[in-house]
Amino acid sequence: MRLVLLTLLLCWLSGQAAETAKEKRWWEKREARKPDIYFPHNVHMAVMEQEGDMCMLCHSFQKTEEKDPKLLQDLSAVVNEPLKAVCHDCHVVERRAPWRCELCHPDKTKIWPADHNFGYVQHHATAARRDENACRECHLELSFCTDCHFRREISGIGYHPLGYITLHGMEARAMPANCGRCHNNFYCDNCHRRRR
Amino acid sequence: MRRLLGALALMLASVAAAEKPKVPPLHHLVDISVPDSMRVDPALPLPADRKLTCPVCHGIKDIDKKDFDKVDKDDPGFLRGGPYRDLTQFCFRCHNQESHQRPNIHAMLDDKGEIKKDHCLYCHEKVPERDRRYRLEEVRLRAPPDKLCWGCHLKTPHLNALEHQVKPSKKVKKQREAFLRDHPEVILPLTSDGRVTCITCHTPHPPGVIRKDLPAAHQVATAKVEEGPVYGDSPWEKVIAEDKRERFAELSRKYGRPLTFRYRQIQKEALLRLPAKDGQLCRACHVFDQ
Repeated sequence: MRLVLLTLLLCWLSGQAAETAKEKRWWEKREARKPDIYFPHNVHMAVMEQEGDMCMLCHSFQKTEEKDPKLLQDLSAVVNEPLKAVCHDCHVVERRAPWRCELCHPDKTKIWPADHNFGYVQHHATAARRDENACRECHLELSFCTDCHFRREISGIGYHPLGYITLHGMEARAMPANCGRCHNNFYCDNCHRRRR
Repeated sequence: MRRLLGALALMLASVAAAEKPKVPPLHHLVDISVPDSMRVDPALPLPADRKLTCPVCHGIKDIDKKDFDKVDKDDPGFLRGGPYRDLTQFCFRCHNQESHQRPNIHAMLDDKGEIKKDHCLYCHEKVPERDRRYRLEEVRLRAPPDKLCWGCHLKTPHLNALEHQVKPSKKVKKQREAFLRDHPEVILPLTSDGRVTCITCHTPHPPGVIRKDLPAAHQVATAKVEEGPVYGDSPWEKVIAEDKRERFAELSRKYGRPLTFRYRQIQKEALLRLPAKDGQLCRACHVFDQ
């Protein structure tokens, strides 16, 4: 009896191993490659129907002369996966569709450029002058720049509520990164060093 | 005595082998004379006696002395004027393309609307009755339905064909069954072991061959069967080209030859059980929660 059970267990385990070893298909691999993409098919169907393009726009079934199964597998992955250019054409270039990044990229950190580290706001000028369009790929609204650059008020209610200077200590200790989005350490030192 | 007989047999065998040169399988016959009526492409060096020998087709020196597996099939001289993506293009350097083209057996009706019975017999052992409702296993096909199409078509005639030739997942299976329950006028047949195959989506019969009210006759008929599906330009062509540019460059590097993709929008469909261009066919099996 024990032998039978052991054999059954071994069979089950080898079956599981075979299942794991089975090569994943393109749509299974996609999840691992692009974990941040949210694409609700149903939401797109109505608009695609209106424009006369449906499933086959992204998942092509065109004629092929290729015969090599490995190549066809690679080709399928590429022709079945629309990337940035296709999505961004409606959502960014033409803005016919909603253009809030987090709508399709729930985790924005996955699409942030590598140089957007802590304190980048103090050092963004060079990059922005070099290639403004690169910034605009994500920061679509001009107000993203003007919110800071055109802020001229010095005494009225600005970014912080009135009297914030007396209350900022707690927030600065709890969430220093928040301050760092606009102020560098010289900004703090201007007052704090004077008092020391 | 036995040794003598053995030696004699060996000699005879070697003489026979010398008379009939051995060539790899599926090879054109050699050592035969090309008939005078056949026009051979002047680029192929046919000798004055019009005898077909290895160098007529092959530009690799002493190819007949090399191991079959060691011959470089991608060498431009392997088949003169090559390499050929489609081998039949080499055949047509001597043989007449038009007279060797297969008939379109899916064009099954003559001018009077009568069935061309010889076309039925390409796939069926016996011509089925037009008005009878058959089950797939009753139509007496010459080969299993998942292999029958390969007699004339590539296994991969279009993109995504290979991806679909699998057993559907539980979710897809459930949706297909629900769709067929709601649409008894349609069939989407699977193979005997439950895999998707060509005839799951395609019907081999043009409109009018099967009685109209039978589910097997249900299909889209926007294109003529003689012409096949029609593709046209798409406003998305440039965007999709940009989308694929980098990855196709990578594939071209990987496979050592230029690979491209030009998106064309399907305009007319033929021999499909449901329209695909508006997604009806896809959605018979694929549903999305969101």
